[in-house]
Amino acid sequence: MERMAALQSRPWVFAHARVIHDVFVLAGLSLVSLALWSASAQAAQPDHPSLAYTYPSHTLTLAASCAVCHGTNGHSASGMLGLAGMPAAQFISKLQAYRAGSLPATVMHQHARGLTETEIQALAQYFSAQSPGKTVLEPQPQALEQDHD
Amino acid sequence: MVGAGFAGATLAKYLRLWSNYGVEVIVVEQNRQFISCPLSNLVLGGSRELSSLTFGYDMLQRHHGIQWVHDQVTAIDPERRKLTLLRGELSYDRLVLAPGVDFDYSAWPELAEASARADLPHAWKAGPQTQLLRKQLEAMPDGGVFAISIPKAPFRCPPGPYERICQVAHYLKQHKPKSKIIVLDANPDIIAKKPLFSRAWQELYPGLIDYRPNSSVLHVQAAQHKLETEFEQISADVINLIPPQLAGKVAQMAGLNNVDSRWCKVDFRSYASSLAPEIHVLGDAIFSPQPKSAHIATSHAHVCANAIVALLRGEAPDPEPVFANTCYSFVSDDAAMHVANVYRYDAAKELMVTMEGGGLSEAASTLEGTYALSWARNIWSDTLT
Ligand code: HEC
Repeated sequence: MERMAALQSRPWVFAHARVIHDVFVLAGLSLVSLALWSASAQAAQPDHPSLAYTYPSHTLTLAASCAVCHGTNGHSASGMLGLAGMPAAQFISKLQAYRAGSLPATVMHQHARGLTETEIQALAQYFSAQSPGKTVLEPQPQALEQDHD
Repeated sequence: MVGAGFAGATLAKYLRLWSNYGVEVIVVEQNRQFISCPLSNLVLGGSRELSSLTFGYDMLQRHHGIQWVHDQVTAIDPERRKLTLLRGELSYDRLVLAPGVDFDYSAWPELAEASARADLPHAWKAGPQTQLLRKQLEAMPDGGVFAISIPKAPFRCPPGPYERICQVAHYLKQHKPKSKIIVLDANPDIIAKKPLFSRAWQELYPGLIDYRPNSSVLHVQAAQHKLETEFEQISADVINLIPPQLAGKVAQMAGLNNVDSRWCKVDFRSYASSLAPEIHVLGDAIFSPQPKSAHIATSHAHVCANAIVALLRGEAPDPEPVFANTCYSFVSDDAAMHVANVYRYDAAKELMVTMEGGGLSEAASTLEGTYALSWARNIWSDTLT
């Protein structure tokens, strides 16, 4: 319900994609799976605060590009190299040192040199605003099903 | 959203997140499991099981309220905005396709039937073929020949074939040291991380790897285990034939593969197809000077998710998106090296262009092996939870 309200309060949102349920039922998809399927949609409980209104999309894209090594929003799954909550001044001076080559690095100098000053400042704001210590979820390994394409 | 590899799964999640859960996302994916291509060469090297790279989509679905249809697209009707699936139909307002790559066997009419190539795994999508190739390596006698054929670029994961050669060499060196690897590369030279791979081959696997540039495979005799190039005929115990590639089937179905009939031209600010503005194409299927990598695929998804949210708000997408790429490659079971670059949209060139300052590792190292594994855990976590 909350989600519906959220939808209505945001007129820019498209009317949701329409699924032609009848066709699915006719084609033999069971009602049970349909029910499960829509249940999964209703279970949507945003446990992530909305970032889209706080940061420009330019920064969101860039910060997400750092996530592959530093974890989503700087929360690293391996515990290595987390960035969440790093004070902005420290963040900026590290990135400047990587650019200058004065901090030893395997790869960060190559990333830092491609960014503008403004981008570094924006990323410093972004990562310093994340609260550290969040548990990171990881998908669990499983046996391969042989019908995989 | 059709296809839930790195690009598609990331788009589904971030479109939900960045629209504040206001946009409904329906994913159509034909496989029940996600299998990571990154690290799958280590299965061939023997230091990793494929199950450690195989994951479910349940966390992604649950945490973000993504609707999921396990089915296959059989037709796309852009005019009526409709998808036909094996079991029904779906209509959409905006369609995003991330179909990955398809394999082109047309150079070898003798392999037109799938059964004719059952014994020649490409293993270029991680999965049962990876396991088959590993089994073939295990069954190979000491003193045997492993032949790998690399297609002309572009293809998925440019350093991948050269990493695979390291992994196969790593296995053979330990278990079948009299064996040999013959590399038939259709390209004039090693196309990615050349100095690093050359050095790894020389230092770690001397005498094991026989590299032959400009060697396209012209004919294949699958039953006799023979390959023919313009210059020679080669017999091999195990043949890893990696075919030329093009945009995945769903993109072909929609007729969006308008560059060389292989890849899809898109606007790099939104990933909208140049042929159909309400259809976006992401990941390996697009025409782009950037490598077809997992990191890049997720970056396409981020730019596209942001652009769709902006368009829905009636705003213009970010005019100058910036993102990075890193590809790590393992030269043994624990040492890795990388190529890293930052890319920025150039409005005059209408392309993402490479910023100054990127480049390669100085040398492969176990430190970077550790970072590469951490990279994998983080990109899986970001994509799948
Ligand atoms: C390919 C992986 C990779 C990517 C992508 C990456 N980093 Fe890094 N980062 C590293 C590694 C590895 C280090 C440690 C130094 C080194 O070896 O280069 C590091 C170090 C850092 C540090 C210092 C951490 C500390 O505790 O001292 C900061 C800050 C940082 N990175 C920010 C960023 C930002 C911002 C981005 C995105 C624009 C980014 N990184 C993208 C791998 C990466």
